[in-house]
Amino acid sequence: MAVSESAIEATAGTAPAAAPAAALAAPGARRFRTLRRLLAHRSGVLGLAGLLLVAFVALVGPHLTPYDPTEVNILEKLQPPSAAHPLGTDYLGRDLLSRTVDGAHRSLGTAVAVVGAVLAVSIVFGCLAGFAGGAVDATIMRVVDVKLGLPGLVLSLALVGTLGPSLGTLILALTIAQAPWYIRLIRTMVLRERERPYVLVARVHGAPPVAVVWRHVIPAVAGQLAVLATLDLGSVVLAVAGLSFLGLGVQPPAAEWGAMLNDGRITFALHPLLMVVPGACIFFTVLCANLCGDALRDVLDPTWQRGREGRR
Amino acid sequence: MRAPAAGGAVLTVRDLHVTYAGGVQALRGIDLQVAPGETLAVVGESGCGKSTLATAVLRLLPASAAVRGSVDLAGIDVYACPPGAAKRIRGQIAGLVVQDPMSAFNPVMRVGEHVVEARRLHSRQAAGQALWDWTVGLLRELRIPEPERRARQYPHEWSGGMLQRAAIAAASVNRPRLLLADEPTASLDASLAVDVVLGLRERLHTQARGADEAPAAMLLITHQLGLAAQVADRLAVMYAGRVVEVGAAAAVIGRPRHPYTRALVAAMPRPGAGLPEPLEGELPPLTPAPPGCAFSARCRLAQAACAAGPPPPLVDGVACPVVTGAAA
Amino acid sequence: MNGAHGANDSAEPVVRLQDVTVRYGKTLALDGVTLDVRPAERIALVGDSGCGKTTLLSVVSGYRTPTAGTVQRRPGTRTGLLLQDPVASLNPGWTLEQLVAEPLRDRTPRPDRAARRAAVQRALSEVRLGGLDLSRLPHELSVGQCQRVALARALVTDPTLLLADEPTSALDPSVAAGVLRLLDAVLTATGAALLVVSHDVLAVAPLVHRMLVIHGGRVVEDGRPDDLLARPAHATTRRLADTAHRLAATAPLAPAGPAGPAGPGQPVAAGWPAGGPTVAPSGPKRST
Repeated sequence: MAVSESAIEATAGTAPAAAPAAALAAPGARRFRTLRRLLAHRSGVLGLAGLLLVAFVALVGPHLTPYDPTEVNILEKLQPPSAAHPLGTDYLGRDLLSRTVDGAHRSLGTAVAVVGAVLAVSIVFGCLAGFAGGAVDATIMRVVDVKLGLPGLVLSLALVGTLGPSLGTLILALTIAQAPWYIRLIRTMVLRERERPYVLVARVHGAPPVAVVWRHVIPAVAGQLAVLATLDLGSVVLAVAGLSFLGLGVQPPAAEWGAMLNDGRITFALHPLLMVVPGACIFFTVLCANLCGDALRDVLDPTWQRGREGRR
Repeated sequence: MRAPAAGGAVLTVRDLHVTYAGGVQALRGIDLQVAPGETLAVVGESGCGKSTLATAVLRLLPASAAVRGSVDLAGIDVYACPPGAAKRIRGQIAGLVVQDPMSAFNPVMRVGEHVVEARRLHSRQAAGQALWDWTVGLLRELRIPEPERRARQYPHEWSGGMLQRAAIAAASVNRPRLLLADEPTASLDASLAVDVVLGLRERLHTQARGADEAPAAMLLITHQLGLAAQVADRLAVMYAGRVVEVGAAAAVIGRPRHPYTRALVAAMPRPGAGLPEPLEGELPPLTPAPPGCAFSARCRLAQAACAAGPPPPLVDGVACPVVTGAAA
Repeated sequence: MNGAHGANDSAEPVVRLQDVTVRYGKTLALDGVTLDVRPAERIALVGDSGCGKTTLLSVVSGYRTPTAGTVQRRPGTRTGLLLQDPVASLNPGWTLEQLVAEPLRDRTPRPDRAARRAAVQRALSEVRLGGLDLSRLPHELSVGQCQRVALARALVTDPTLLLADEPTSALDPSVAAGVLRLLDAVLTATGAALLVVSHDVLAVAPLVHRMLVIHGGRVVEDGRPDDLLARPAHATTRRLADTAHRLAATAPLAPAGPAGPAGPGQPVAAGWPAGGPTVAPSGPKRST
């Protein structure tokens, strides 16, 4: 959740510790205003709790699994849930619960890595294009246009074919697929925020350009970006699952929810749990991410008040 | 579908109440009449309900708004007739000119085509050269320079003032009995605003030429008293969803009686008179409205009884018992 | 020269424009404008949309650099800006305190938190919003209050030059009257110079000493508002004066026929000076 936290900070108008420009020193109450609003948002809290739960499992789970997730035991294959194996076993006799828990950090972690990489790349180039303008802007946007013309899946396949399937390739492919949208979006946001009347007023009142960018443009962009990234987290989880399902990402025997969906496909009729469990985990994660994203959008709208959720 | 012009009023609003979905009481008992050929200006500031009045008359309120009372347009009960009939009313019996001319026009349609479409929607006149020529003639009448060339242009190529004149053309193209102008000049310069408002009035007269009928009536909604004074026969002043004063325009502006009207008149800039008088305070929240007279909190003549009981009714054209009592 | 324009007539002008021209691509927005803004002088820029008055204001503010000509600002000049749309000129996520204090953050030396808060309170009470809770957000205020907040922000650094772009066009007349009076009081108290753009001559005439009529990017007339309105020379001024006459009339004109320019038979608005200039009772203060 690193991205959202810093975005929340930025939007609340307080500067992260390392910021050179000064934020208006606020009483303690206002510093955490956005955080408090987030906690007051009912569905947002649920989503946040869910995501934190998944994150916890992802971080801590692999050390607590009852069985080795890759341990093959053919004699125990396709067992229904029992005392020994609470969720049963898969077609290689591996414990489903252990694999599910182990898969969390790959599924969620990969998605977070992708979102992080996309944000990093797109913020740099989007801001460059928006602020520099001229030839720099034109160059960046032409590259983006070219990339947008290439179908994402084909590009992913090409990358996998060249570099070999792995988690790293997966992250690279998804980052390249998503970044151009974000670059274009950030550039538009920057251009729009720069034209705000209160930016003009600040400049005329003597604020140096950097200060104006820091106080007005960045928080607005960061806020909108945080909402988008959180909502996108869900779709990236699905994309990771999808590509792994196709065999393009995580390689066996590593556990990942999308790959597990693929594994459970053949035996679905008789042993549905092998697909239902990882599928439910994906569903739950994406749902929580979406709830968080919606809550963030509400919370960052200054006119939102608690009790008015869903009144868009 | 036209009621006979002689006799009855073009527009009769009786005890109209409109409450929006959030509980805001936008109109709290409006009684108005517009006679044939008359220009009634409804004046009031932001939040007084005047735009709600315009939308209510044309049955364009959102479905979630609660409406009580009646609106009678040229003999037709606007809220009792089927929705299809209401649609026919707009454009044929009543025309609407809105604040922002740009938003009244389809940006990918030529201005002339827009007026033609307005005509075709409500009359059986077939499209073709005759209709186009007639449209160009209409624009010429409204003093658009080079109407033949201009009619072929797109809205963004026209200036705001000219576009508003074209909007007037489109609204009046079927010779409606009533022209509703809702803040038609709010986005225009002062000199253009005067031109447009005078053009509106002119249009009402010229559209009737050649027929045996009285000129159309106009309901002009504006927050600018000086502008209303240019063309209004009668003037109604609204505050917080009610009419607080109504009468002949010259009388209402020249000898205002209700304290709110007096404040509005005092706020009009006059050359040589220094800075105009401001009015302190804010409109009270209308969810629901406060008891008694909604203006009492800001009123210099307010007495204890003003803030209690039902809102004061119009007596002899003014809704203020203090003023009426003093005059008696 | 008498002190009719307030404070220091002989002092250096606050802003001096010489032969300023501004082009946007092929469009000529300003054409060789020369203007001195003296300390405590109040000037209105009037004309139709697109005449160049807003461009002139943006050049004076320093926001726009002219294509040709020079702009000289007296060193140490502090500028305040007031825009037409009060709500859009306030960052919607900032509190009242943050909004009004913003210009103080860029002063050197930067005042500390307590000093900033005190300045904010002072500025807010100057605009008659002293009692408001400082943690309010713009959407909790009325449009008129928003414009006053914007004015407080413009005043918080004690500016020597106040620029206003149609400051009352988006306000109801009774609210606009309040803002104009505030402006008058504040300018009188601080002695700041004022440059105000308006399409509505009547609104600004009582506030200013001097009116510049702009047309086609050029200053076509320059004089006292009363003079210009009573004896307009240029066609644009005539039209503006005619509109002002009409709007100020306290009775409607004769019933409609085709509209035409105000003829000799039209009633003259009460209050018009018949001959020479009139000193408006609450107009700009003149130093004795």
